[in-house]
Amino acid sequence: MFIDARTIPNDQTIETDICIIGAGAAGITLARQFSGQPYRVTLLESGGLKPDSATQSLYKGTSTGLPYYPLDAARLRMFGGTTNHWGATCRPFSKIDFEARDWIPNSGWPIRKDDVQPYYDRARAICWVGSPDWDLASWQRRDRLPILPLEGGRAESRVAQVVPVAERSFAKHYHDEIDRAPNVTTYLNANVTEIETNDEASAVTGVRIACLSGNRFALKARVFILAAGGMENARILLLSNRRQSAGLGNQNDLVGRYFMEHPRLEAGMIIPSDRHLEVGFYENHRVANTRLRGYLGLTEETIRKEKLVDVQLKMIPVYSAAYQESHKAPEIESFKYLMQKLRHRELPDNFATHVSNVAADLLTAQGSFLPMAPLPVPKPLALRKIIGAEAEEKERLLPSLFGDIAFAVNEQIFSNTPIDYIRLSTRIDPVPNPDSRVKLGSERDPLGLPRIELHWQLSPLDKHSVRRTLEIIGAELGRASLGRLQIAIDQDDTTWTKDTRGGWHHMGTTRMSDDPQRGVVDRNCQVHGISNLFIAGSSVFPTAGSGTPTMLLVSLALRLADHIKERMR
Amino acid sequence: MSDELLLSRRQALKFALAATVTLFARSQLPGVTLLERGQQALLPTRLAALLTHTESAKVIGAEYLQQYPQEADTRILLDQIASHPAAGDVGLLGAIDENLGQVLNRMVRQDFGADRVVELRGWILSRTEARLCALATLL
Repeated sequence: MFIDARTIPNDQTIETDICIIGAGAAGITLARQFSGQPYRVTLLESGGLKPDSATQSLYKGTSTGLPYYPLDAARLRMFGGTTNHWGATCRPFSKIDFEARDWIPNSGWPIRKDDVQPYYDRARAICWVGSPDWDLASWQRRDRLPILPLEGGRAESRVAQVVPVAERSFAKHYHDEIDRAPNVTTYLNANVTEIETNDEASAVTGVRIACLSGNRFALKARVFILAAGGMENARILLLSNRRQSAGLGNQNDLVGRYFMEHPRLEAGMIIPSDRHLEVGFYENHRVANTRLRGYLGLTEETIRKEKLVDVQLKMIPVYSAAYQESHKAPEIESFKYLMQKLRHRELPDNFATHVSNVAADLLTAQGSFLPMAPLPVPKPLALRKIIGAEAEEKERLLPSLFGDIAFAVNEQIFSNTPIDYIRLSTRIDPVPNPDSRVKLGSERDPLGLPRIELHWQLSPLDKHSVRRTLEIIGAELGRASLGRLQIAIDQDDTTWTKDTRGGWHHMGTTRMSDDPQRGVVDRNCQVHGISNLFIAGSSVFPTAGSGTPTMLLVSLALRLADHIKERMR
Repeated sequence: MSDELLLSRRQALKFALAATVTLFARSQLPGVTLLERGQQALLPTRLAALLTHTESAKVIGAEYLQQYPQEADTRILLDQIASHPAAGDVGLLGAIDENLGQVLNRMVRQDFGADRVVELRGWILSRTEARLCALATLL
């Protein structure tokens, strides 16, 4: 059942058994796991079912340190949370991501990959990730697009799956199920302003809720789960400072610290030896019904030997200007449109215009075709010119002799698209840095609460790792005679390029550790020292990992649900 | 990124062409017996002749010499290139049955495999190809 919290009378107190704060990927997953259980579950969502600018503006904040996106643009405050517009590229964390690595300060999870693996398989289905197969060799047996033959053992290709746009939103998939769940009540437009505890701050007694419309009420429960996102989880704990002045769970000054992102920057480029180098595997493509995308990185052995953090490279081929220009031409658009309609046996709109565009292209090139032939048959001389031409010359001759359509068809049929160069964009698994943090700022939101102040910071090892990864991959490309790589960042490990950005992933602000001196939550995601407060979401990640966060945070939510179910027996 | 590193793409392409096309595009160069002293003197010229984009190669070469001024001598460069382990037991000069381009190609690949690379204006190049460019600069 869904209830608009704006209809709840002031000062009312709602009673429930489990309170989940936040209806994003983690919160929805938890609520679904509790559906049908013999206890009442309340899901509190700040937003509604649709985006709302006033609610969204509650995310506004300030940012220092490395440049960051406007905070109110970095997350969606509505049912389904950021799954309503996420990139949906998914790849599991590796075993090494969970390990304490002596060259990476503050690395290491209290759990291992094996502890989450069973949940990973379930999370994959929940996130609508197409296949349980993450094995590159297995995909390569079915993929027409090969990986680059880097055989030195230092660099590797990696495979990720991309969820189709239509399948990405948790709200779309799970709204009806949550609505029908007899024991789950969802309050929309309900902003948690404070978590209240007993005098010793050893147990949560309730939460205070405010609506932008002005009404305020309270909720009491036996168990509370904070699932409001990588920044907001920390903010709510910091706001809850009635019993612990530094904020709940913050007795060791850890809440909000270790904020991590997966930094992106354009770090270099590759000039291929062969302009027709096949790099389609590294672009979005399909194998059967699954969408894949490849990346480049270093092997685990190399990362250990070199003592680096993981840096994954996204390859962005820049195709020849002639090819790109030809694809913008109206005759190509018309040709594509007509072919599409023909394939689907549909009648085209504006038929005459499209046919005339295509005909104009053919007429431009009529000098190269035999006159009076029933089909466009090239003149032998024109054909000879093309066949004998070098790739670059062919690129120039084809459109001029036979028109843009012939050029585009040639590129499509023969996969002959020439590459000018390949841009390399990073994705870094950064060193957990205590000075990279979320804290309460001096500005206040319309509910009167301090807004977030973000100070995002990276570490010298992060920059060093980017450079070293590029050096090694550059050398491996050279060894395989595939091309040469240029590094586009300087050698100062303390500075970052102006285009350094986040990957829209917020992690680490309530990190997991069995030691309360080193983490906010324990291995079961329970806040240290508070018996009935748990945290779900990527804020518990002690390291950002080489995989993507959503599947892992859903896995951890499933694991947490099992833990709480056991506790509720 | 510093301004020095901000190469225009056009410049970058020129560098890359020098780097990638140099040794490989003309790998069919016929092998020559270089046993006589007079012919040895021709080696730097023959090596430099493998570079198809001489002007770009010279830019790279100049950069290399700036970073490694101790090698700014054709004899030193030649010694370094010729003493490469991949030049074979009899050395580069004794490459009787193999053509020079293929030997150099092997040397370049071995350089990359062994991390014998240099970074010139951001480009990751094999030490041998960088020295070859330097040779072209000095000739």
